[in-house]
Order: sequence, then structure tokens, then C-alpha cells
Amino acid sequence: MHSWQTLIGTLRRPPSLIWMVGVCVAIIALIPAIYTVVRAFEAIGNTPLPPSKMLQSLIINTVLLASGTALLSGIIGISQALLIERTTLFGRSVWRIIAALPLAIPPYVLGICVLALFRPRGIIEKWLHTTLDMPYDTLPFHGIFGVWGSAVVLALSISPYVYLPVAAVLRQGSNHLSEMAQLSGTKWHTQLRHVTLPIIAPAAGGGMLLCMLYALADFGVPALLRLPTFSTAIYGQFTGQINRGGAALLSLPLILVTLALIISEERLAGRGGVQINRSWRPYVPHVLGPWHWLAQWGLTTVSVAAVGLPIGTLLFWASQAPSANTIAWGTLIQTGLGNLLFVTIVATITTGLAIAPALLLRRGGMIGVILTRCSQAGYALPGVVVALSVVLVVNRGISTLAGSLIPLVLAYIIRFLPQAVQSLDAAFMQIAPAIEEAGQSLGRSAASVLQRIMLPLAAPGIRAGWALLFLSMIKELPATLLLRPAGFDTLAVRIWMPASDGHFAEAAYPALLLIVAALLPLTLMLSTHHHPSTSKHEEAAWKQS
Amino acid sequence: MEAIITLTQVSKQPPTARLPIVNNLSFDLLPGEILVLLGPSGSGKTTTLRLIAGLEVPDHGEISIHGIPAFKNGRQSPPEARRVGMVFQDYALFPHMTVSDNIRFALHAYPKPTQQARIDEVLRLVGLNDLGNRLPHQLSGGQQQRVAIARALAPAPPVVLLDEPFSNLDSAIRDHVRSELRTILRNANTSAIIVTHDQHEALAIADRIALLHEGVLHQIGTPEALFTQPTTRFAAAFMGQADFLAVHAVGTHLQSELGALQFVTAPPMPNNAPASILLRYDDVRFVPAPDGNAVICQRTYEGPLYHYRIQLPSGQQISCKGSHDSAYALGSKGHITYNTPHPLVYFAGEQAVGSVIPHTSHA
Repeated sequence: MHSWQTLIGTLRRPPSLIWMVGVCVAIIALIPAIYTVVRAFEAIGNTPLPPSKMLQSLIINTVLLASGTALLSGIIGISQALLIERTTLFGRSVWRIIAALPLAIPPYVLGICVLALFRPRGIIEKWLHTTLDMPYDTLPFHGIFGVWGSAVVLALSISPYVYLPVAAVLRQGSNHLSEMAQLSGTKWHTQLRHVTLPIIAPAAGGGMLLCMLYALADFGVPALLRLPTFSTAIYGQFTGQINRGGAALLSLPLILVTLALIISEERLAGRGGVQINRSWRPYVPHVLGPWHWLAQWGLTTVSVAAVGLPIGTLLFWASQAPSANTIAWGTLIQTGLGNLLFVTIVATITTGLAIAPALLLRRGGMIGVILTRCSQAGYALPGVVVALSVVLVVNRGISTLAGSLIPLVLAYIIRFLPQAVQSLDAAFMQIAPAIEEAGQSLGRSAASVLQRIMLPLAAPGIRAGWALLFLSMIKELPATLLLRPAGFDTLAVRIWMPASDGHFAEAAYPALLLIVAALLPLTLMLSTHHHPSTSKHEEAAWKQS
Repeated sequence: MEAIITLTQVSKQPPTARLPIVNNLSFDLLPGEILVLLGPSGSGKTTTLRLIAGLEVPDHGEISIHGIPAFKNGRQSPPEARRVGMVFQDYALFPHMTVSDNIRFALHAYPKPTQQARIDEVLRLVGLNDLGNRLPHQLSGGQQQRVAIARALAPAPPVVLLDEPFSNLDSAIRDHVRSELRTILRNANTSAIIVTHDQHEALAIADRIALLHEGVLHQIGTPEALFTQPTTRFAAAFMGQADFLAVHAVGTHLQSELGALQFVTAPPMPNNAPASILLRYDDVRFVPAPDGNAVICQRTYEGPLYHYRIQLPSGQQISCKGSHDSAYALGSKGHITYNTPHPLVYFAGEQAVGSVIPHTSHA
């Protein structure tokens, strides 16, 4: 009897509708991943393995790209957070927004701009050649691509994944430890090493692992900068030679490494959480003094490279754009609106579906946790692999769906469900367990407590999670490229198609539209970030007043 | 009288815990009674409350509420079906609902038109008539607590459970709130189980106290019984300041260094058997004398009285209260004499065995 309760949760267990949805979601999310693994093992005997030389360079490139990106993002994100949240830096409220802005610019857009500017005989070389009359072969830009170029581009784009959580910890964390350190007379660098860095370590580590996952999965940047990684190789196997067995085979190591990273990320996330307590007071910032200008310069350089450079380049192209008739404004606007509608609908569906696993994780006992973990299978699958697995399943099983939007929708849901579940879980975590128990002890059913108490209280977190989904989905590239039915375009595709043929300027208008579209959810996300309206925060706020 | 809540040999041990949190616990709650579950932190009192509310599931035993099994043979009725009101330690008010809506949430069994009247009624009961439209964060801690009580009482449950109801209140208003809570519960004609770790609180508010330690029920009875007739040394020490003076049996007496004591209840013990007697600090008196063999080694001013620690010739220290009018200096010598009209409890090992009275010739 006891074991049964451990399995499906105690009496606070969620209503049966939630269980049904949770089981369906887990099955949908799990089948493609399993099927890909099965196909990979089938392929081991039948498909010629890729040459080991190529495999070797794939492994080296992928590992270097992932770790380099994580390291650079860590340096950028942690420095930004420390300078912005813990010093007397001028204009901190503006920097807070600027540091998060790269989220609105897809890495491949930055990649396109960097490529157009710095490639051999690119904009800068041409300018140097024509205006300063320097011969091409004396120009130094040939070495900037490859692993390190890709890592820098990716790190500039995704450093907010480190900056945002670290800044949140620095903003919310109790000040007592730092005050204690100050009272005992230690220098600021000793404090930094022994107090501040240990406090932010879990958040920073989690953020850097996310960056590593992102770099492992990213397709756009390495494809643009001609860096063969597992993601681009799978894409190549898939589109070039229609070798799905080979593509499945190449997915296998990627899935394994990603799984390992996710497990370590969960370990990290479990540690060192910072709770707001009643005696919370704002931190007394560190006075920078003569270092102030160096700090300003550093922040400016990073933001110019991550935000100013791509937006400037895009605006330059847009202003240079040939006469209006070469740009099909009508279809561009149509694509943009269609894309917004599509992403809005899919993000809403995904958020709705994620409620079930998020609740089961909280209350569903062991089976609930297992179901939730299954529904997060998409986390272990880079976009390219999700697309591949959906194609494999659709072709084998339900081929009538091929050519419709359904496979693409499925791929988006599978790929981004884990993100949605995490946001919702975080939103529900903010609600004190006693609040939920109080609801039930007042004689209300679990469904009624969910509807009247849990969902309204979690609403700010759910909104922020939805915004994050919207942001990720509107930037999605590889799955869309592989699965979109004929005639269906997204802004990302409209950026990618001309740019991958070298017509960079044509990407300018869709890219600018995409950035504008991404700014809306980003604002929503950040405003929730700054004005938490959950019980705990409110309590902290009024206890101070 | 038929019990409202009956626990029979209830046990609970979480999978990760080395020892049971609640161990073979049995007690009753009678109609109209205020029962206090008292114990140090980790004694299992909050878990017991949550087991009764249905928020946790026991491993063994039976719980019945209003004569209906709530947990029996592994089958558990859900918390929403138990008709038990609960007041959480941090009140657990719904922050997005007004005071009225918080209470209305508990009134789903009432027809819509009668709900507002009931809300007004319980708000009057807790003295918050005009605050129905406030949000929880606009209230003080004491007001929030009263809303939580009003919400728990609203559907007129025969019993409410309160988890450390006074722990979030300033000590200045605690005494007031305590007597007010007693009045509210009496007026609502509701029985209550209150969890606390504070023995003063328990003595002041309880009709009966159940003393828990490490998941085991040590003693259940009236506050007076727990204070004056503790059944274990733990109960004696937990209910208030206590010293245990070493004694041994001599015939029909217990011999202590403060003089002989005569058995009143239990049969005499074998000669020379070791035992200890419970001394509260008002059970003895310090009489200053230059040739005395007891020495004052510590003095604490407590307002109405002085609290002395006194070293006896054997080296054992005991407490003794003294008038606030005259303070004895540290190092003062004197005699200790028994100063009690009531019998003293004596223990063999951990268990209380019986009681003794001081030999009058020594008083």
C-alpha cells in the first residue's frame, strides 16, 4: 500500500485529466527519440560508417566549439552580472536591458553579419583594399573563422543565458554573507573569491552548461562559418545524400553527450539555491573609482559586438537595398505575420501541454517524475535530430501527415517542451506548498485548487515561460528548414536561404523584422523578471515596509 | 462522550528517515476540547497534525474523524473530504484574493446567497468586520492570522487544526492573541488541536496536553497533571525548569542530602536502590547562614524574583527562587530546606515511580 502512494503521489495528487495529458505528452515526446536510437543501431550493420578521419575532426570541432562557447559565455555573462549588479557603474539600469538584448538576435544573424564583414574579400577587406589601396594578401582576416570564430559568435549571442541567472542571484541573494566578510575586514577580491563567486557558482555553472548544450545543438553558426560539427554533418547526411540511417547514427553520440550534460545541469540546479528572506536588503555596491572607465569600455565593446554590429550591418544593408521593387514586401509581411501567428499558436499549445508534466513532477510521485522526464526527451535532441526523428516516424508510420504542417508542429513541441516544463515548474515552485494544501484542506477538489489558486498565482511565471518559448521558436532554424511543407516560410528561413547562397543583403529586412518580433516577448520576459509578484516576493516586500 | 478524532497506533516513517517520525501514536480528541500537541522540534507533532488533515499518509494504524475511518487498512480519505479546518504556520492565505474571497473559497458547500452572510459572521467572530476587501499583504501579521482562523472556521468544521499559530507573532501581542483564540474557539463551539513547542503557551491554552518526544507520546493529560505529575524525566524537564536530586531508599524513606522524604503512593523500594526526585525552583528555600554548606554560585534577575543556582555539598547544583526584595551575593552560604506543601515526584531511571513528602521535622 505504501509503495503505491510512493508511485503515484500522495493525496495531493493531480486530477486524472492531468495524468492523461501527461501520459500522452510523454509518449509523443519519447517515440521519436527512441526511434532515432533504434534506427541508429539498425544502421550500424547496414550503413557504411563515415570515414574515421572525418569522425575524428567532427568530434574535435564539436567538443572545442561547445567548451569554448561555454567558457566565453561564462566570462562575458559573469563579468556583466558582477559589474551591473555589484558596482557603482553609471547607467546600470540601461546596461541591465542591453546585456539581455542579444537574446533577440539569433546567432545565425550575427554569424551572417560577421561573415559578410570579415570573410576574405568581404566588406572590410574590400573597403581596406579600395580606400587604403592595400593588397588583399597582406590583410589579416583569414584566420578568424573555424572553431574560435564560431565560438565567439555563439558566445556573444547566448551569454544572456549566463548573465540573467547570475544577475538574478546577485540581486535577490541575502547580503549578510558579504557584510560578514566586510566586517571581518577582507579585501574586495578576497570577498569575491570566497563569498560572491561561491554564491553565484550554481547559477553560473547551470548557465554555462546551457550554453554548451546550445553550442552542441546549433546548426546555423557552424554551417555559415563552414565548421563541420555533428549538427551540420547530420544535416548534410540528411539533405545531401538522403542517408537517414547515417544521420541517425551520427545523432547517437550527440544524444549521449547531451544527456550527460543535462544530468550534470540538474545536479547543479539542485544546489545552493538562494532564498529570499525577510531581512533582505539591497546590496551596497562596490565603488569602482578609476576602474570605472575600463568597465564601461569592456561592457560597451561586448555589446557593440553582440548587438551593435549585427543591427548596424542590417540597417546598412537595408538602407543600401536596391529599389523597392526587388524586395517583395507583400510576401515578406505575409511571411512575418504568418510566422508570428504560427509561433503564437504553437507556443500556447506547448505551454498548455507542459502544465501536465510540470504538475506531475511536483505531485505525481515516482511515476509522475518518470513521465515528466520522458516528456523532456526533446531536450536531449538538437533541432536537427528532432527534425530527423519526426521525419523518420512520420515516414514509417503515418505518411499521410507528410507534406502538412503537423510534423513541423510536432517537432517544435518536442524540441521546446522541456523548456516550457522547466519554466512552469519554476513558476509553481514559487508557490508555497502550504498555499496548495490550504486549498485542499478547505474542502476543494484538486482540479478546483489548480484552477482557482495554482494557475492564477503562477500566471506571471507562465507568461514569462510562454515568452521564452515564443522567443526560441521564432528563432528556430534547422527543424523548420527540414520539415516545412512547400509554400510555408518563416522569417528565419527567409534570412537563411539568401544568406547561405551569399546574398547577405537580402537577409536584412527579414532579419530586422525578426529582431523586432523577438523584442516583444523579451520585454515581457524581462519585466516579469524584475517585478516578481509571487507570494514570497510580496511578503519580503511588505515586511520591509 | 464520543471522541471527534481518534488515532490508534499510528506510525509514519519516511523512506529516507532512520527512525519513525511518528511512532505508535494513540490519542482521542473530545468534543469542545482544546488539545495541544507539545514537543521539541523534530518530535513529530506537525507530522501528526498533517496526518490528521490528510496531507500525509500514515504507514500503519487507524485515524477516524467523526467516527468515520479517515485512514484504515491503507485506505485514505482525501483532505477535502475530512471536514477538518486547518490554520497553517505561515497562514497560507491566497495572496491574489481578498479576505472575503479567501473565506468564500472555503464556503463552496454553502448556497451562493448565504455565503456573504457567513463571511460577515466569521469576520465578526475574529473581530475583522471591516477588512473584507483588503488583500492579505495589506494586513498585519496578527490580522493575517485571524483571517486564517476565520477561513478555517467558516464552513463550521467540528474541529480545527492549528500549526504553531503564535510563532509568527511578536511576543508583545502573543498573550493577548492566545486568550482571544481560546474565546473564538469557544464561541464557535469548535474543538481544536494546536501544535506548539512552547510549554508556557501549552499550559495557558490547553484543556489537555499531549507531550511528544521523538515520535513517541510521553504523556497526555491536563496542564496541571503534566506540570505536577510528570510520568517521565523528559516530561518533567520539558514542562518547566527542573532539577533531579539524587536520592536512595532507606526503609520507608528516601534519603537525600536535603533530608529524608516519606513514600506516599508507590510501594517502598529495596534498601539502597538509587532514585531521583524532581525539584522545581519553588520547592526549596535558601536560608542564609554563615555555617551553611550550600553556596550560591549563580544569580539571575527575572523581575518579580531572583533565580539562584546553588551548589550542594555533594557538588550537585539546584535552582531556588528568592524574593526580589533582597538579593544574596554570589558565594553566600546557607541551608537549603524543603518548602513544599505538595508531594514530590520521584523517578527510578527515566520513569516516574511515585511521590514522596518531606519529613516534617526537617521543614
